[in-house]
Amino acid sequence: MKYTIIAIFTVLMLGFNTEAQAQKNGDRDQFEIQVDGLGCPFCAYGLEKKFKEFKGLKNVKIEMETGLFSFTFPAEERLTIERITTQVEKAGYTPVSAKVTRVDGTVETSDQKEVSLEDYAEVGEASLFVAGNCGMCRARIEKTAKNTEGVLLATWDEDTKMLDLKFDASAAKTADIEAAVAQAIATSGHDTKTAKADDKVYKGLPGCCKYKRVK
Amino acid sequence: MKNKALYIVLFLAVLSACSSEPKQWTKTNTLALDGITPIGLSVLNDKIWISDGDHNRLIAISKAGEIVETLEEFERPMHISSDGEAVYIPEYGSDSIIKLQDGKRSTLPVQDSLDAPAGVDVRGDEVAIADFYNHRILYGKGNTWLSFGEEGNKKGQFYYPTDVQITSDKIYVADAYNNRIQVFDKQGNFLQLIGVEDVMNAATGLFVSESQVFVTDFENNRVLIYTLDGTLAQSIDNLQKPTDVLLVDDVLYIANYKGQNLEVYK
Repeated sequence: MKYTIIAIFTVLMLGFNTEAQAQKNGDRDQFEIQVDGLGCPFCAYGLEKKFKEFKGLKNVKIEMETGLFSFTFPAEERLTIERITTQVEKAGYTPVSAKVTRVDGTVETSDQKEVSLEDYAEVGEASLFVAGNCGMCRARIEKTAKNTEGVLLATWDEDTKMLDLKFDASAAKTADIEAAVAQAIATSGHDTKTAKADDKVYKGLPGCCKYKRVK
Repeated sequence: MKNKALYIVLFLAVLSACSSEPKQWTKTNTLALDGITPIGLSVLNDKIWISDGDHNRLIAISKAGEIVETLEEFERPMHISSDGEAVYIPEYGSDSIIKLQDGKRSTLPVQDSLDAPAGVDVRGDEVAIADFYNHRILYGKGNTWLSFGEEGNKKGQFYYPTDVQITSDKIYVADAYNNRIQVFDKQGNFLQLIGVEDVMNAATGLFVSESQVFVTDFENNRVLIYTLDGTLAQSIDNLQKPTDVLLVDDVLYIANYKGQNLEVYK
């Protein structure tokens, strides 16, 4: 049985307020991307810099506290949400959600929809140590864990470094889930007590994510 | 008897000198900077200059904390410096160093291309630039330029350097994401590591005085203060994402990026 834990969907809709926003931007589309882990200004400005290859980018704003990265872009280019989320990932960051208000008032969003635990007859719990530093680490760790088959929820604590999992216990044993998650997380660049990240992957992490390696 | 008393006094004086502790800094004030997110600090003409990276501007305040000047339209200004005549602004977003003198802006000629300059220092005819994405320091004296460092975590290598300071005979580098300070001679030869044992998390800003090295430990919300030989003398804790330190007339200013203020220590 294949579980779909997170479904990514795109919603298209029209609204008067969005038309007003579009008019305000003239012939430019308005983009808003929620990015996890923009805790340090060097990271945030680095993300902005990586978007400079999109010629025509203007009105760039980064709200450090909320992680909201916004800009406008010429409408005729029809820049897609997929391209900007890919660019965010390419820059080493994790996009949480994205929204574009087209010049004609159309709004496109990408969003995440989580499955309720009540849908599962037997929910197991597990926790494991995962090395990391910051909000960006948290986003990467939790996203990787949630994408592991059988995992329903994943929450990583920046202070204790513990990753708490809830999983479908009718489909997997605790030890199997812990092993699968540890391996997946190590592949993403974070050490656990049972699986270590490859040095090259670790080296490729953003600067603020350079945690102390697990011996 | 008289000689004996003199010897005792001399002995106590020597003992006192030997056992004197390094200066301990004590907080005296907080200068609120509402709406300003300080990154870098410098001083010129009795004003404290602050780069506000989030808002692409430069702010000058009096030592009492009153805003006296605001200059807009910089591209992510970072760790600024002054040579006593001008303020130098590394623009992370435009890959250039801006010289601000008497209200006029010009671009400082640099021999090589930069990728996100995060810090600059100018001392006489010397210039040092922390070239963030190139993981190196670009050092110029007159028309002669030297590039040293590369990506890595060994001695002499950098991982995202964010600040730099030239002293009479050395170059100090905030090797931010290697979580340490590195010291070099002016030929780019590695001399010393500072702070390795203290488990910093992003050593983003530094200031070097005649006797101490001040380092902002950004993620750990503290400033670590070392003697020049690298001995930890004091840790100032409970800050709010500090990004830079500045010493002016024996007064220490700490830029709290998240706190949107300057903390003042004496």
